[in-house]
Amino acid sequence: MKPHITRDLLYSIARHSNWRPGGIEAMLRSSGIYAGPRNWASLLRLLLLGAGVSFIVAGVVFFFAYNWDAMHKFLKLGLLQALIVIVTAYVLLSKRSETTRNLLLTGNAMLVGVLFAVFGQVYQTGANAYDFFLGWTCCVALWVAVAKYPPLWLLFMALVNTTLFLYVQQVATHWPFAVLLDLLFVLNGTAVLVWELVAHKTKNRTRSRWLQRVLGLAAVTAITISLVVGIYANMEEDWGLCVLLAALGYGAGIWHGQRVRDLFYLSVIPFSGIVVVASLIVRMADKTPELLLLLASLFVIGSTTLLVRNIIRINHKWHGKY
Amino acid sequence: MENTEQQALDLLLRQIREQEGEGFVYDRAEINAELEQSTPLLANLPVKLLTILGGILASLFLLGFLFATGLYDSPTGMLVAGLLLLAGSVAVIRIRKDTLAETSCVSFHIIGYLLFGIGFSGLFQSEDALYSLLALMALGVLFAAANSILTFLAVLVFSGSLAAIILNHQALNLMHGYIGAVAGLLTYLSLREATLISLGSWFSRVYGPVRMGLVVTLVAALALLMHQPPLPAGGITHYWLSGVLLIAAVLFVLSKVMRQAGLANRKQQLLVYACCGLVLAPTVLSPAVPGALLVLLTSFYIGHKTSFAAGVLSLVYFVILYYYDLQLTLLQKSGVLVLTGALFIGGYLLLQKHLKNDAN
Repeated sequence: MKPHITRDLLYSIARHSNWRPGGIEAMLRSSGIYAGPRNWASLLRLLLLGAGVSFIVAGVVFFFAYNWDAMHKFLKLGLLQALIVIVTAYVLLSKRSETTRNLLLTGNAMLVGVLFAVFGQVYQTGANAYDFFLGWTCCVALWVAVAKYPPLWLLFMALVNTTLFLYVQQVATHWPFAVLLDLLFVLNGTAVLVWELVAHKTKNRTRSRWLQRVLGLAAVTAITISLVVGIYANMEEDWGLCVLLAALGYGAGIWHGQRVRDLFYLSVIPFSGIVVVASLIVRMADKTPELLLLLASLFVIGSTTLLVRNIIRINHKWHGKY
Repeated sequence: MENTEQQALDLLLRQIREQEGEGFVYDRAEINAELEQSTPLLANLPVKLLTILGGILASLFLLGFLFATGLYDSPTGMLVAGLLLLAGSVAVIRIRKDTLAETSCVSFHIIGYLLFGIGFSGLFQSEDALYSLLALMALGVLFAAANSILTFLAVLVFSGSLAAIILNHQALNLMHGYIGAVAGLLTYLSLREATLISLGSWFSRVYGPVRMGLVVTLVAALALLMHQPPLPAGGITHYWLSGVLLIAAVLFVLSKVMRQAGLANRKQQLLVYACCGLVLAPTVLSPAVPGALLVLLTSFYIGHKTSFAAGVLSLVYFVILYYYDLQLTLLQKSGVLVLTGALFIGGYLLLQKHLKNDAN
């Protein structure tokens, strides 16, 4: 049996033994806690490629932002379109690694935004019009679906969220703020669901789950603010819808977190509940503010303690002591 | 502990004895007791984050309660309450190691600093005295509190107080020395982890939170440098001082990495230094970029994911800021960016070729 070595375990042994520094350092290296030559090579590769693609895309953005008068509008649009077609063809036909092609595709998705921006510049459609972002979102949707690449998905979700936000600001101005938050919750929550399904279908649970976490955090933040705003607005304006969505989403999240053994859902969702209940307690503080504020504080301490204990217990059950 | 875990620990201890020789002695009971109490690896980050967030939230409500009771009218009351809360939270956390004690002590500790600060400002008009006292108290907490979150907070309060003294005296260019000292300490801590944790129990307990505190301090100091608040007398100048110090620290970390990676060829080493020097030289007047790179490299070196993520995010932010602040036209900036991007892609292709050749 190979012992599962963690930094905490090595620290404990170092504290209660006469283990020499050289031995500790050798163990930190051999157990893979410290980065080895392969890890450094991977980091360098990713940094160079990521920085290279980002800098070139940023350079293209700056070039068109300069709005060169001497350059004819057709040339500007044509250049960008040609660049997008060339990169797409390269991504499709090249035999380079999947990561390289996905990074290029992400850069290409940014170029589509530049194309729309130049179009807006030429025809004066406005830089923050919601249909600008809607067009950008629709045009890259197919690449996003095919590539299943987390950074590209993050860009796509940022576009979807921005489009919705601007739509409510510019067109659906009569929509209450709570409805916007509820919709953001539904959008980001659905994206989490899609990614969890992808992870389930590809049986790839070990792959990094950062995208689900970022989107999950966005969804939980939106519904938490919606619930708290509802509490302070005397539970008017679709608070029932908000509670229903939260109940469904949180229930599904907790169930899924237990099923796939992910502590993220089991930490974030209950903490959102703690924030909402504490807000509810403070909301009642009109008559006796001192006592209810103290009660809210004690509630947060007590419930956070229970939550932390529960997380440690569940983790112990799933993964053992370390 | 479960049986299998006991066996795994036995195996590991045997393995260490084989390497260290028969002179290796350990206290198995103490190790067991500590592991029983420690937070498991996978639950470590959520537990720490929840404790800090819960602590801040509870502190806000408790502060509201204290103000609602009229404590705000009495600076002396706030000063005394602050001191009592600070001392009480440190004392309780030394005696009790359970989760309830940790969550509540974090809340009381944060409020302690706040009440002490507000109370002291109400009674005395000396900002220097306030910052000096806060720094001294934070040092006391650092030595007395056997808890990672309180230690982390103590580092932030200590470094924040020192920075406040520098800014208060308008000795603005001392910030370069401050940044250099923080960067030097962070580099030293990251490269000498094994030596430091073997120095004694206290060192190994404070190592992690102190290092994380230094990461936050460095990023915050660099952000302050790049977004100076409206400071009198022209603000901070001589940016190259911080730039040179931070670039030197990055190159020093690289030399250590190359040694560890077995890159003994002198020519290859010089090539790496030249490439890094070429990339970093233009950032000498924008020290935030090499500073963030230093956080990223040192964190990757010791395999610390949270500070690595902090390094990546701050690097992205400071690079964007660097190009945003560049005194060039958009067209010139575009040229510089495309050229730099092409250089990076070229470097990537060369590296791929080199790694392929090495593999064959």
